[in-house]
Amino acid sequence: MAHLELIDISKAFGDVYAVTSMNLAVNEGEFVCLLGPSGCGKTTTLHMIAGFEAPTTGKILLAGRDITRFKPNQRGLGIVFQTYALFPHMTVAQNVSFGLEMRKVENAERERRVKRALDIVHLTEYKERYPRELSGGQRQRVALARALVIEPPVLLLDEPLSNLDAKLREVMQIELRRIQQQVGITTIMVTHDQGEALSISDRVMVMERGKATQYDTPLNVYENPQSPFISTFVGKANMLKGTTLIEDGKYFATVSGMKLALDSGLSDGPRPSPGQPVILSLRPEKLRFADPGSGYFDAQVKEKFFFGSQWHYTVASPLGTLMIVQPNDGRQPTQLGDNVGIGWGDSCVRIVPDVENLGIVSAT
Amino acid sequence: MNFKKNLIPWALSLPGLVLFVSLLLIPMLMTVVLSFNVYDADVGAVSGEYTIAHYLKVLGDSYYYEIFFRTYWISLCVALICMVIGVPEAYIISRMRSPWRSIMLLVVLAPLLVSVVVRAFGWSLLLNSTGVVNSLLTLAGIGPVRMMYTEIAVIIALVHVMLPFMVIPVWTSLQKLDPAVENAALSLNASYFTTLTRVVFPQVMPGILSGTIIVFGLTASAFAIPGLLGGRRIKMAATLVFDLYKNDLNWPLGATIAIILLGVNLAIILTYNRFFESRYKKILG
Repeated sequence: MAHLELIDISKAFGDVYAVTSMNLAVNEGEFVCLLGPSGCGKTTTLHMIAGFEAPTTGKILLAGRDITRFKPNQRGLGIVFQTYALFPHMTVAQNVSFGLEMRKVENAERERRVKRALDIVHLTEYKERYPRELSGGQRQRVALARALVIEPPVLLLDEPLSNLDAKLREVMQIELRRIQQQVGITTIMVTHDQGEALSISDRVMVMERGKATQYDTPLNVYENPQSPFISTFVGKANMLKGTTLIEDGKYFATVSGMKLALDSGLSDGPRPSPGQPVILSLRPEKLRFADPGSGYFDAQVKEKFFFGSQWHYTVASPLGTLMIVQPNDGRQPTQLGDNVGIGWGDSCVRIVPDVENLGIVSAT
Repeated sequence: MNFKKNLIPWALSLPGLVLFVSLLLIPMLMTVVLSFNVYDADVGAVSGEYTIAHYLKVLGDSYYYEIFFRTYWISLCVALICMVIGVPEAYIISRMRSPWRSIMLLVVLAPLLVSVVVRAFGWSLLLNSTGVVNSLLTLAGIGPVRMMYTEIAVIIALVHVMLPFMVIPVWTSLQKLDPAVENAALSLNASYFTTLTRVVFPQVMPGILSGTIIVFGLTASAFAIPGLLGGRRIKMAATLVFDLYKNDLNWPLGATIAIILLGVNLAIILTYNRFFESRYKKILG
């Protein structure tokens, strides 16, 4: 049985539904990200788990117990807020100790646990400082220690890294995952950063306009996106419109008059019938440059951007404008205006289920 | 060139400076000088002749001690009552929903638009022996209670006048509060009451402290309310100064009282600042 379960949760503010029929099951020790653009309902969902918002309908179960109507201070969950929400008039140690005081943990035990929590986040020598004397990353770690020290059944993180600069964010992502693994705590993190979600979570719940649209491992979300939105929101994708075609038992899609092989790119779900319009997704890093004439077709390089470890190109091709990402592997980069062949492995073309089938459009 | 550059800030602050010097600094210096002038019952202040007799008189007469003690006792009561009423009031208003919040804030501030004298007369209508309050008390069987020209009347009216000066700084502090901080306390199992006392109030402490000192200072030098509701019996420092100037025509003694009042007020405010406000400034930044 799942450790934390949301069953058919909805939340309406007046007539507007922020979250609609959300189901989520998180196993013990799992790190789950709620991923989506701003306004998709992910923060509202987190607030309902925390108890700051009451769901309009549905149930929340924690270890099998219905906590839907529990007040926030009866749930005992650890929460790290986007603004950190440290107590500015208390030192780091007092901040961390607060939750233990509220639980009437006796002094010696409290000191021991505060010390351990500060050790975990590497802030032991800062324990007498006030929050305003700390950097953003340090405040973030105090907030984490304060949430962890009470040994909550679930740790909730509300965009915890969004106020940090890019370099620090990367460090903290790894740090966060390390701590989560070390403590073994069930964690739910809200984020709008797909890279963050993919890199540190066990499973990703993609949300869009108040609906959960895909709940899967990061690799599956990336490789088999269940909607055109997901395939462009999680990573970059070339989206193509085509029609299916079956020849000799093999599946193809015709796009702009070209025939693309589909066979190994089909997921296990229902197979498309011949002549059905489909949306295809081609990840830019799966396209390859080849000598002119040796790929599926030739294309001309129109734009080139350097990202250090990668080159991002846009090319004009018979399929339209395509994005291509190539590693900066020491070879001479392709020049603007060059004619190149474009190739890819057949398994890289994905059929993306159409949005209407998921009812997303009708939900708005 | 450089000289011109330096001139601009001076030129810009000149109007304010002129106003400040001519309307505050010079009269105050004149008052200081006046307080050392010799007093003659026939001609009033004798210019050119100086003495410290007035200060010695005030320091040596228990009558003045009584008035100063009453002044600061009433100021302390008013400041504490304003704190007890004003802090929860500001907190509740800050928690109200959108239209009501502005409306209630306006209700709190509206008395500032009415002259203190008018409000003093309003209170005397309510509190006199045949006033609304006494009529209600008579109905309730408690009987008419003498309130006019007592400390109670002065304190009630002063609290009413001073309350906005407590609510505004506390309100400003509350606006700076991150609402997530309260949620953080709740999530750590704190009760709503503990959240208020251990998380919210310590953070609005700077606002409470400045509100208290503003109310205290303004009350200590209040004139209209004690004058109209305290009458002859309940004299405070400011009404004493007025009487000395107006009725006794003893301007030097009046000036002496005024300077002593100013000195004591300054001493209290600066000490208070040093002990409380700077401490919170260090923590909260």
